[in-house]
Amino acid sequence: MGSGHHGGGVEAVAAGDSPMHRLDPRAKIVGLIGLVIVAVSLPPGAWTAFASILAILVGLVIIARLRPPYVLRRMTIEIPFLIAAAMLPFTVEDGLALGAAVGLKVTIGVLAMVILSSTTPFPRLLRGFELLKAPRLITVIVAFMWRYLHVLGEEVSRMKRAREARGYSANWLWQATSTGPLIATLFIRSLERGERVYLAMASRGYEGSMPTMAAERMAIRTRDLAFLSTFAIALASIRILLP
Amino acid sequence: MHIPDGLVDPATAVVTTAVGAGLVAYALKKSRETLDDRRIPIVGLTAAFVFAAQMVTFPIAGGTSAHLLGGAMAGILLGPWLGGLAMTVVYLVQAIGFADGGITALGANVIAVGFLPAVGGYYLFRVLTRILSATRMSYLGSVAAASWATTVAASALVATFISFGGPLPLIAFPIMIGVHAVVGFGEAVISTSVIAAILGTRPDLIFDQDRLPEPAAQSSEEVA
Repeated sequence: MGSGHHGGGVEAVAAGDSPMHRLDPRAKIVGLIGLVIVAVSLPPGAWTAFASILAILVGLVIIARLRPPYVLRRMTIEIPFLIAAAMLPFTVEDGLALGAAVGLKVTIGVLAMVILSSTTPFPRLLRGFELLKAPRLITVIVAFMWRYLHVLGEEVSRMKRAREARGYSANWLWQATSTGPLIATLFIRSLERGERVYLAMASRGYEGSMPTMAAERMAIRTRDLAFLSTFAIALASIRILLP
Repeated sequence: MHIPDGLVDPATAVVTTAVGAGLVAYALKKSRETLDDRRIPIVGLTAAFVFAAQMVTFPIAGGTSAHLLGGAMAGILLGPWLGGLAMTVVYLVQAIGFADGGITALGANVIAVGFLPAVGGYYLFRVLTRILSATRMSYLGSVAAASWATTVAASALVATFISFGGPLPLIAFPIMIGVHAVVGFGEAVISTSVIAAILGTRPDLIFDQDRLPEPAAQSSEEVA
């Protein structure tokens, strides 16, 4: 747990700078989700279309100045699904084309979301969804969940240290029985810390959404419109012309 | 057990997205009617907790991957619809922020591993606590049973989506259910310890105040 656990430095990468980082989060959300929808709708055999979409994503990785080892490490999440896709040729009819299409769709979906989350810090991503009129209750729960993930991470390392100070060592199986109570204690302690955080926020004027700083106020600029229209034209031509 | 993009057919993706959106809309409506703003932190914490627990995954050969779910626990703790919303938030953030679970499969994931365990787990728990005696033992036993049963049911629905509504062969079906019959025990142990701890220290946080076992009901009066 802890912030380092969530994809290894994704927050540091997302805080970087590149033309892709500077785009409005709304443009990236709409563009990349649109790209995934187009990819998923392609039939097996539309190899030129799949290749074009992958080429667009590789282009975005380059523009975003994301390092290949980082991108590949984050993409390892898809390995179980690639194994499943690789078994299709042996189990179903026309499995080779089907397996290749499934593998490509999984890869495109994962790479698109890796690019989105690696070029947009989480608070900006959330703000983008708020501006896209996502239901407020959902965005509020997301904001609290994000906050609590860090509280949980800190609480876990504190409890581990305390437990080790009392002579616990994870090497002994019989000591594993303390894991259930540890998790339960973690829940209660985090909750009580969180309630205090909430009361502190409420007493400072929190009313359900974070106040926006002038610096992070967002406006759709020409570059966002240029990005979105290029994306729309490219995706429409891929979908209509290539399969 | 998150379905990625491409593992459900386009037609299945369209239908599950529509049904999932309907469930979320209904849950939002139900939650807005009853939600006290002071409860929002516990919803966020439950979501964070489920999120962290789900990061421990075991790959399954020939299918996808297995991990703890937390849906029944969320439903019992927060109530069925708010519990379902907490689960929806988990899958939304995992899909967008961590590329875990596909955007076009979000509806399928929200139905199968979100609302099914949260709503189904809650009502199964209600039925069990009504049948059984009002002791702490049978209360926690109901939590454990609801957790195990919804884990298996959720895996069956995921298997249905990816084999009948997706490209995978039917062999995925027995593998998914078999693995989750085992994973369900871990799920039951963790959900039960969390609910037991909350019952012992903060029973006021649990959604159903009418079903608390006798000793806990008394201690909550003392606290109040």
